[in-house]
Amino acid sequence: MAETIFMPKLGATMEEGTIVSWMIEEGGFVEEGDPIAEIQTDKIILELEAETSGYLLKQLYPEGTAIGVNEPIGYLGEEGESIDQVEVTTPTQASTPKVEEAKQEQSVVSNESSEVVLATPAARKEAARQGIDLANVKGSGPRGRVHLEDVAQQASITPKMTPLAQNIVAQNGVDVTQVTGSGHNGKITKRDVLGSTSTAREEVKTPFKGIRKVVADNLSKSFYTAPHVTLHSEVDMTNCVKLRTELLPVIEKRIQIRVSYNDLIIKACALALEKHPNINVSLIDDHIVQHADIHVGFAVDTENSLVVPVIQHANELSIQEVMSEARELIQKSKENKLTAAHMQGSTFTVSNLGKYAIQGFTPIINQPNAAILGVGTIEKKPKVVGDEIAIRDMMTLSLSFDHRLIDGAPAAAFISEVKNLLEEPLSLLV
Amino acid sequence: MREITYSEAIRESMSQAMRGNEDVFIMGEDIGIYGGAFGLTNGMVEEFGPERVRNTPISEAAISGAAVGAAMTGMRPILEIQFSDFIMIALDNIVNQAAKTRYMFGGKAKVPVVVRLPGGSGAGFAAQHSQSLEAWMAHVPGLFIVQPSNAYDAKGLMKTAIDNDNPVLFYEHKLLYNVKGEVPEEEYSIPFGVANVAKEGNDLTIVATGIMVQRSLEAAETLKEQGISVEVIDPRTLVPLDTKTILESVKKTRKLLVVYEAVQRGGFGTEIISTIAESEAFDYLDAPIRRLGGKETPIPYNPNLEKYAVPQVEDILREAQRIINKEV
Repeated sequence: MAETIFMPKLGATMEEGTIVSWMIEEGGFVEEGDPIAEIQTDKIILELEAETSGYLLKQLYPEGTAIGVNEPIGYLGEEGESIDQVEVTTPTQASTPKVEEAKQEQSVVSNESSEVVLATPAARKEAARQGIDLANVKGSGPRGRVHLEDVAQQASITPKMTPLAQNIVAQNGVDVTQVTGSGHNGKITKRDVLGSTSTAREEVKTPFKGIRKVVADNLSKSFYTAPHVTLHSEVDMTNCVKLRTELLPVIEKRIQIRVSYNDLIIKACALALEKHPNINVSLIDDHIVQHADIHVGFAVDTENSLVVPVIQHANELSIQEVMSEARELIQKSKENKLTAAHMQGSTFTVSNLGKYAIQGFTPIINQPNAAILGVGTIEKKPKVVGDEIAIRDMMTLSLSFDHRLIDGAPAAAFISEVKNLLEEPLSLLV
Repeated sequence: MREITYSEAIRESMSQAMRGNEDVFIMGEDIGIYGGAFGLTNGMVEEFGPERVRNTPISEAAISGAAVGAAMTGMRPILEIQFSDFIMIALDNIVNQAAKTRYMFGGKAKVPVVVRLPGGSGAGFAAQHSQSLEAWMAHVPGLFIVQPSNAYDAKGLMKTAIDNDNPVLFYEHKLLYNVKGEVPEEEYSIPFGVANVAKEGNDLTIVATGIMVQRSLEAAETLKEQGISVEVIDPRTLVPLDTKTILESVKKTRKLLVVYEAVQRGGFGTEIISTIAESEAFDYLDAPIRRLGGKETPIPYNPNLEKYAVPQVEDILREAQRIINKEV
């Protein structure tokens, strides 16, 4: 019967450990006492040794995963053995914690004390001369003892530096392997080091997975399957600005919500979709489906990612109801409380970058929608009104549409409709 | 150049000295017509007569006393102790008298005595006739310790020993007696305290004494075929010791192996290692200093065990490889 491998408790205060690397592949054989995986605690990286010989049947988690202590992380057993039968019992460590912990604590200590660098006198002298930290040199001798040739090897891969650069490196702990030397013969100068301290001092690597990966996959799929065309239209928002100014105190008094332009735009889109149902479509199973309902999704930027909650039946809601609904969804988004239901069923999407200095852009369609409206910032601009130049509040709308499903003219008609609604916003209220 | 044996080289050196200086004479057990236990003095009684080639009673205490006394009173005796192991009986005269007299008399007294000491194992003489106790003697201030490893050095070092006004312990190796080497016919001196670089190399320094010089050179040949360049240094005299030559060699090769026949524990190789460890060469070391000496056992009579008890060529080879391969 297979044995469960548990995340070891390597210290009294250890609560979880990270699997730095699996040293045995799934299906690989490991001798008793040989390392299976490298485990990182908040203090140190240690090797997890196999308690018995056997085949690693399963790695329960990929490298880089943090697991609570005494949680199963894999199974060891006979070759080809099924792990279906494995009982996930409490770990044996838990039943005999005293001995195990004491032993493991000791091993931690001995590991820490082995941080004393072993090096021959010649290696030490040469390392000192070259300004090389022996702790960074891999020793070829017994117990990792550093010999002269190891230092020479390290010196050959350690870039040459000016004394000034060396000082800065010593003070700031710059990783010079990432620095390109601009001096004579590639020598690293002060400027090179300073450049690296201010900019690319440390690259941050985040695994490309989870929600980021889902977003990326959806965007790629949309971008590479739906031929995008983007239409831009400049909207005179002066009336909207005026309307909003007038509505603000009224609505705020009534429902404690400050009306936003986005609410007006969502409402305008919903009404325009009512008039232009050929935009409210999706390509589903080789059919162009024209939706009966109008559900408008709107992009919300949260700390972790972009989410698109949906206002159902937006065309049937009053402006006040759109506002309430939108506020609630935004709140949930920020608190990371959106459920799948909140994000399903959109037939059209609005993406608003108006709070930034963006005029127009080319949004990527949120599949299975057929179109998305990008909203730019509102800014005062000179505009010809009649035969006069007037200062007006202008905004650019960018409509990306799936040209497989929608022709240019209907799309243009739709965006014109939205433009008209926003320029005469009273219609949004009735 | 002509080749003669180690044994003949020593005899020639003594004979030339005796021809040139009437004060020089030899004494020992059965060294007359019998020619000594190893035949080294063969023919000398015929040339120089029984007055200058004196057979003695079998008493090392007596003959060492006679030799030291003769030296103090102006003669230059060369005393043969049949086996170096027997020096224990002669030690009071050597350590307490010969080694001290010149010092205690403020330099006014001289003790120009040479004590010849056939030593070492390998000839089947068992535990009481096969020891290498030179480290005992090296501990005593006032004694020169000479350990020639070849015929050429034996002749030149013997002349220096005879010419020296102080007691000199001259360790000969039984297995070297019949080993031939190129030796000039005329007299020559090899100064004490000057090591011989028997072979030059860059990867490892082997300091070897006595018979171990030859064995180390053989090992070095094999190592050379493996691409390992070994420098072999023969100190020739333990007191005084040429530390400079050893030190410079270690600074060059960064690795040191000391090989000696005596029991490893407390042997003279340990002194050589200490000298290097505390010297400026320390910072040049790129491997632990190793010593290879005899096993901690009386020399066995069984020929196989006798070989096993002291370093052989393959032992030196193995130890050198371990250092080079960073196995130690």
